[in-house]
Amino acid sequence: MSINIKKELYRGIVTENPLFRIALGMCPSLATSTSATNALGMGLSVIAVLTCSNTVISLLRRQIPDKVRIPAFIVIIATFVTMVDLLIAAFVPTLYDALGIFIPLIVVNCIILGRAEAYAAKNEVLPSTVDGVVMGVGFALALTLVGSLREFFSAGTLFGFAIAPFKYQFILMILAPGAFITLGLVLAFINYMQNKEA
Amino acid sequence: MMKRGSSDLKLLVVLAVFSAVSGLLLALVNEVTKERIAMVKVKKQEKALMEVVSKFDTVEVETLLANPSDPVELFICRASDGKVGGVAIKLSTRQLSKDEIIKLGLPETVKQDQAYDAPIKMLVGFSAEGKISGVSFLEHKETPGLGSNIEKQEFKSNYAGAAIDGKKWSVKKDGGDIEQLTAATISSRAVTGAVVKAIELFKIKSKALGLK
Repeated sequence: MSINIKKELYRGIVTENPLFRIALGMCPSLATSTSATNALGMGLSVIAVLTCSNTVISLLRRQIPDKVRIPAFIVIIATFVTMVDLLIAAFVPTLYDALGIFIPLIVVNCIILGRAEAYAAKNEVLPSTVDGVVMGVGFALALTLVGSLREFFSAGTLFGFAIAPFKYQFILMILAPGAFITLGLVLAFINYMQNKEA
Repeated sequence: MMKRGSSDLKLLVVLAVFSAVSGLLLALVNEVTKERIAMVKVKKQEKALMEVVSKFDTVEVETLLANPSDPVELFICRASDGKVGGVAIKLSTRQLSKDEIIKLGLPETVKQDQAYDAPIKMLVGFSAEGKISGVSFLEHKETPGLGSNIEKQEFKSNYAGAAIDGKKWSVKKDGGDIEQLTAATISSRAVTGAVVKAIELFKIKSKALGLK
């Protein structure tokens, strides 16, 4: 069985982008996209967990009865996240200092459960792992884009570096409304471009 | 009927097995990581102590309030000649009970502003001359990008270098001198509250240590 990685990546980043197209995992996304660094941190954590959870759920998909699949998925995901949390805290403390606050947030990210339900539960192991990676990458890129826009418009910085020609502060953009406004405008722009093409 | 009963049982068994296996896995991982995590915490505390108290050779720890997960501790830092060079107080923004306040000798009216999430654990360092020499955070779960900015130098400089009676220790919104963080007044207030508690404890302890 061969998998076209390019095609899969295109699917994860563009046609089925978790944040912009499927619109899943909005809640933690809005909360963690206050700066480009935070968004990237959350994005990387999601790639790791999504890849692992997709693989394991696909492996176990025949053992899980249909009626209890959702609680079973949640048990698997929560176990994974907690294990990752403990292991990083113990063995890579510097990474934990940077990402530690995001890891518990992943449990409530419905993109993980969404991919388990929509893909991993119905497909073979390898494609499911690939799906986890490309969906994670798509999510991370989208989140970093939103985070960069919010950081730039709120403080004129990007990844903490000043890039605007003058100093300003626009608090609204780091607050919750800024998240909705940014996401709404980005979605509108994407839809506009797509309609124009069609 | 018979069929339904047996399939329900199967669901039960499957979920039970899943939960048991995940419980087992977590217990295992916890066992493996427990000691290392504790070690990492100790190291982090040592680093934080170096950050808030500038120079010292030996450290003496005095427990002011015993608590398995969240004690209040006094670190007495001495230079090589035995003179106290500075002290640090480890505490958190946890709500203290009446008994605990009395035990610590804090004024009964002491403000107890809570953090946004779990208690913020921190170290407050004092120089022998009665100045705050630094503030360092050991553990917190404040919102990334908002409350987590308490770790930024700009915010910490609200405290570091100030004489303990040199400022009105409350956030500007409440009429004090502390520049609160944008969109994170709750976190700023909680940290300031803990600093006030540390100052009170320092005042009590400094006499016993022969500091002015």
